[in-house]
Amino acid sequence: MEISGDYTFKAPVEKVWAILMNSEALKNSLPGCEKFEEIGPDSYDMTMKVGVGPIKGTYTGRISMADKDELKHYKLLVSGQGSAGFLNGEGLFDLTSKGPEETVVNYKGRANVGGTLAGLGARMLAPVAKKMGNDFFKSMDKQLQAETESV
Amino acid sequence: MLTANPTGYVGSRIKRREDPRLVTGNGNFTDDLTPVGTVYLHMLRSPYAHAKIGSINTAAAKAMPGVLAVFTGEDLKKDLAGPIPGVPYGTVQTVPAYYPIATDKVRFVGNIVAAVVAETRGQARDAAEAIEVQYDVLPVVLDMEKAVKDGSPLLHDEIANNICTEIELGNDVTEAFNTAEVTVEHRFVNQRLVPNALENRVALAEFHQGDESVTLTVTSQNPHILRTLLSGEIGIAEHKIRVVAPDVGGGFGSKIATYAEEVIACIASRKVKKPVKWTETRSESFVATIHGRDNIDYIRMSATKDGKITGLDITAYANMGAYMSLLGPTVPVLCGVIVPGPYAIPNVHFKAICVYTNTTPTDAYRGAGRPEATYMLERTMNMMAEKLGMDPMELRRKNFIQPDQFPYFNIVALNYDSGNYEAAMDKALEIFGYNEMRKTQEEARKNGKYIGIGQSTYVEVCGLGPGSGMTISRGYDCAVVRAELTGKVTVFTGVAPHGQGQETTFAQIVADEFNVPIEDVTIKHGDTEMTPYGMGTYGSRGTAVGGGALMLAIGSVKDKAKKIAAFQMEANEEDIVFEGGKFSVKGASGGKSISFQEVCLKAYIDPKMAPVIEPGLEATRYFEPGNFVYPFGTHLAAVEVDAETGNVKILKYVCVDDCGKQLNPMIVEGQIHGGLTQGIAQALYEEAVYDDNGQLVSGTLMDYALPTAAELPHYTLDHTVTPTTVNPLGVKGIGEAGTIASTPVIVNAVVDALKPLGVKDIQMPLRPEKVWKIIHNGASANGSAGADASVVEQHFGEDNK
Repeated sequence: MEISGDYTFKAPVEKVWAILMNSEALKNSLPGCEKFEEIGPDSYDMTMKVGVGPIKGTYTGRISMADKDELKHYKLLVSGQGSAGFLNGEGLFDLTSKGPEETVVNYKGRANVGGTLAGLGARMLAPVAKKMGNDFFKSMDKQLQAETESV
Repeated sequence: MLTANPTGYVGSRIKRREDPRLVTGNGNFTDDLTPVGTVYLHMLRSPYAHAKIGSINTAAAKAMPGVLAVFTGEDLKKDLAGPIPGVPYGTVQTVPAYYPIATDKVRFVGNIVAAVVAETRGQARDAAEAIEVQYDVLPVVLDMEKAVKDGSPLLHDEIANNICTEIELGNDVTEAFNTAEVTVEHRFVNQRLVPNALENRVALAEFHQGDESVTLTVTSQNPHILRTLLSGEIGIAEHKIRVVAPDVGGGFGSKIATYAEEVIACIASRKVKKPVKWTETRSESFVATIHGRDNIDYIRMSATKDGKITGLDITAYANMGAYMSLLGPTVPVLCGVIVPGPYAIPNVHFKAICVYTNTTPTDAYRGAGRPEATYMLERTMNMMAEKLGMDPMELRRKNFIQPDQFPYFNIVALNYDSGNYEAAMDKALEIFGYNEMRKTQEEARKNGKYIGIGQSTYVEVCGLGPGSGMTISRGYDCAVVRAELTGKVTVFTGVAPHGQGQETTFAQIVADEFNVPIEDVTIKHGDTEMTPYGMGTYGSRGTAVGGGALMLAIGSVKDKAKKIAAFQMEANEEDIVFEGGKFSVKGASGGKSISFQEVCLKAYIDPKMAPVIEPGLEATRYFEPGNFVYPFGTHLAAVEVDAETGNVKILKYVCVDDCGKQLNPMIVEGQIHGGLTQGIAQALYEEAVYDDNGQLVSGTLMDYALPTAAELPHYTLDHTVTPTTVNPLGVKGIGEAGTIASTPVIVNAVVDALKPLGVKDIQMPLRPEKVWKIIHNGASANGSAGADASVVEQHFGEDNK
């Protein structure tokens, strides 16, 4: 399954990059994240609670960042496994500055799922993934604004 | 033979006696039963189609509330006497060990990796989620034609080229093809189906500490066979096992095999010392219950220019799934033995290559092999007719085995006992209005409409099975007929009806034979403690074989009743006649007689008989037929294909079936309706689809298209009666006929409709999207589309890649 989209931040690219790289912000932006432990540079063990239609499950796995090109590009790798199946995915993020107060992030993701998640959830997976992507950026945006306000 | 009695139940449209109970929620299904103290079993299943199990950590699960036991494959193996058995046939290399819980590797999505027993279903599920399994993912093999090639990943290290077995039947056809005037050849895909019985599988195991026995209440089509197999799996001797199949909500073959969950439930009950229940969910059922079909068939047919078929040569790839299910390799045998159909073909060769892949194991599904045979044969008949420029029905007529040729040996394996194929065909043609429909079709074509006519003239083999002639076991069934003290009759049958209606048809027979009201008769089934060894219900055998046993037992009861009547009337036993419910003395005037009910009473209480006649009035008999039975018929359909949507609408469906004597036409019709629906659904809708990783993506009833009444036409049913002498009732099977005959009818009709566009074949299912693409993108869909060219070349030669 593949998803793609974009999100526009009303903020300079440096600030957007900083928040996307912030592990605390990452933790807060992962939907249903329950456990989040750093196990190495840019690599975390995590537990996420995710519902895809009727398939609600807890997934234990790892999230890591790679191929970082500062202010421009990075890759997010996710793998998780739970009783409802497994999910392996990677997302490519490209940042483009559209001016001092606007940054567009283009994202492209690919995921493999298995088990009940694939059998029952395949149909519902794309919209759920799209929504999760959107929620992720909204949360990042919110944290970015909160940070700006507190400064 | 049946007695003609004024009660007249046999042959009447008696409403099914089981239905009021079933439709008012008063049925007694396994999941309705919850003995005091029942705990629940939940399976953790592999999400991967092929992987090594690295490690399993059950510590967290074991510590969770309500959890009584957690089993991994290794844990269970300690309590296991043997793996889940499959019956080998042909050149089997070795039967791979199919452990109820996987030990080293998982080989399909749904393979069990751990099992949890807890006080509630919820607790068991939650705990299963807490089990950590580390998998090392392995490459997946799904395509049979690739799986058999050197270098393909192996499912079982000990099994070369993933070939489970090869089965070869028939004679040498080389000469027939060398001298053939006309040949056709084609590759057909008979897609994988999911049986989807209304009731999912359920197992309730109760281990009894006192005598170390176990009772398994379970959704089974064959309790006795299951008991024998279970004994070998759990290591409890057969006489300490009771298997009960109460009301069972459909099976279609999916409840014949012995399954992992039943074994785990028994072992778990022994361990936790409580009743253990497992109830399959629908989504579990999609991956955990056997699938059906999934064949790739390479067929060649040779004929003379004037349309005499001279040879048939078939290589069938049959997908076994990841392990050998009980009858996995038997299904292609059932295909091979009937592959010449109703035609007198002198040279027939059939080879099946049974292949392991990373998919759910396959086994018998309504028709089991015979739908595959009929599909490829009846599609090829139409291709041959097209090539010869003959009408498809004329080609069939020309090649039918003639009534005076019976008994007819079909070259492959079978002796057809009786048949009159042309009579059924002519009746069907007339009811259908075949010639008029051809005119309608012609008119429609002028108006740019796509109307097509489809045909199938089939013969099937059922009533499993004869005493000798089957490879696995002798085939028989049993009945206990007990005339009670008060003149009521209780029958215990060894068959295990789960929708076939024998509680009604068997009662009709008993009521007629003893001349008692049908209300005075009860038919009981499905409990290994009720009857001697019974073979169960599958292969359209319930009435043909179980009914035979019933007739023999009735005969024995009548014999003893005559002895009692003779004693009571002080006459000779040989002079006693039973007519109109009364025993009387032949030729004696004065009308001295004694009723059936009086005989029953005397049998149990009359002290005068004490020294002379043993008390009681009952008999236990087995019936073992000398042959299979061979129902046949002609099915015809007219369809219209909507060029704008690709939708196929069935305008007319006519079938004339011959199942011998009909005991209850309403039940016969119900069986045909269900069969037709499942066969039509294969042609148009149903398909189990795996993605490249072996994930079943059509794993819900939202994604797997079962037909509803809205998609189906009114069926026009008729019949001919060609009696068989194979069993005392003169009946043949009817449970599978509809499924066996109908699939090619629909595809033949759609291909005929699209003939003006040059369409020769479309792979099933003929979903609107596929048909639309063919209409709009041209007729590219041939049977070998998407297949490995080298494999096609291997079977058909280089010209046909």
